[in-house]
Amino acid sequence: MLGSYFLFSEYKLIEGLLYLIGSFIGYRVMRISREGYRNTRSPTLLRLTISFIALTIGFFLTAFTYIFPVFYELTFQSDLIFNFRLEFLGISIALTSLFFIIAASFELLGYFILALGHGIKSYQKASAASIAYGFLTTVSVLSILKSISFVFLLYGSFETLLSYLESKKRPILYMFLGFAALSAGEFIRWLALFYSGLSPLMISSILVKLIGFVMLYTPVSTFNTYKGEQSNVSI
Amino acid sequence: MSVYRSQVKIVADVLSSINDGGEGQTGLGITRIIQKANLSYGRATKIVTRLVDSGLVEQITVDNNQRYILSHKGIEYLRSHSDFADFAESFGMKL
Repeated sequence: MLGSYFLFSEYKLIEGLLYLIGSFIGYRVMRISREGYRNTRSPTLLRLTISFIALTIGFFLTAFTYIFPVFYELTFQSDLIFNFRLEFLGISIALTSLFFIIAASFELLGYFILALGHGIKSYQKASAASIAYGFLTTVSVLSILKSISFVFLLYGSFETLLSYLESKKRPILYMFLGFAALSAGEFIRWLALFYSGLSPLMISSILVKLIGFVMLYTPVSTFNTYKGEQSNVSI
Repeated sequence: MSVYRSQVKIVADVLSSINDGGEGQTGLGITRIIQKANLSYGRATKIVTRLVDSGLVEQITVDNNQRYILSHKGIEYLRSHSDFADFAESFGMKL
């Protein structure tokens, strides 16, 4: 029992670290896009900048929400003041839910702007009744945000695939594989929710997401940021 | 399906036309810019005037004709545009 608890904590730590890597990659992309916008005043790069600011904040908050409670739990593991822990348990759950919702909102915003960059012409609003129903519980809010994020992520990956099929350029292929792996990782994570503790699906989800982040970083790492910074030209 | 050029792309096209077409220090006239960048006279003059004002293009007079050459700033902008166009393209987007 205790072993599975530690395993679960480790899983949370691994997932937290994974999102920390994601936020680092997001930050790198955001910096390059911002330099690009400063130099060229291109609306595409402005959209990319805003999108990756939101994704960086979203990933960082998710990482924080995963990692911080693990340290908290490990700190109080051998402590005798259980009452203190129990009193804080409710606040901790509420704060964790709040942080997850804020993080998911930022991720949603990021993926939405990224999809918008691919040319979404219209955004259909969901009916007020369905939204009200969804807002009944924290879990459903999170599910809605994650579901919409997933749709935008999937849309972005398909558009990137179409761009690759047109130009046959390798960086676009890496970007497509990155987005596709992140979508697949998110989908596997949903399936993993049916199992408690550290299931093989949960491990697969983490591995697939890690591959996704590595793929996303590959074309970004080849881009020389300082090249853009030296030529600080604007029109 | 026709593909529309963004303002940034049009500016880059005008700059690369001047860069490719300027013979030495003699520069490029407005007519050649119109032809190379595929723009109307009104639009081309408006853009070239803006580029001169922002220091990306220099206006010179050769045999009583107004010619345009790319400034150092313009060359840097063009290089920067090319780099970031590649970056945006890796996301499947165009500048």
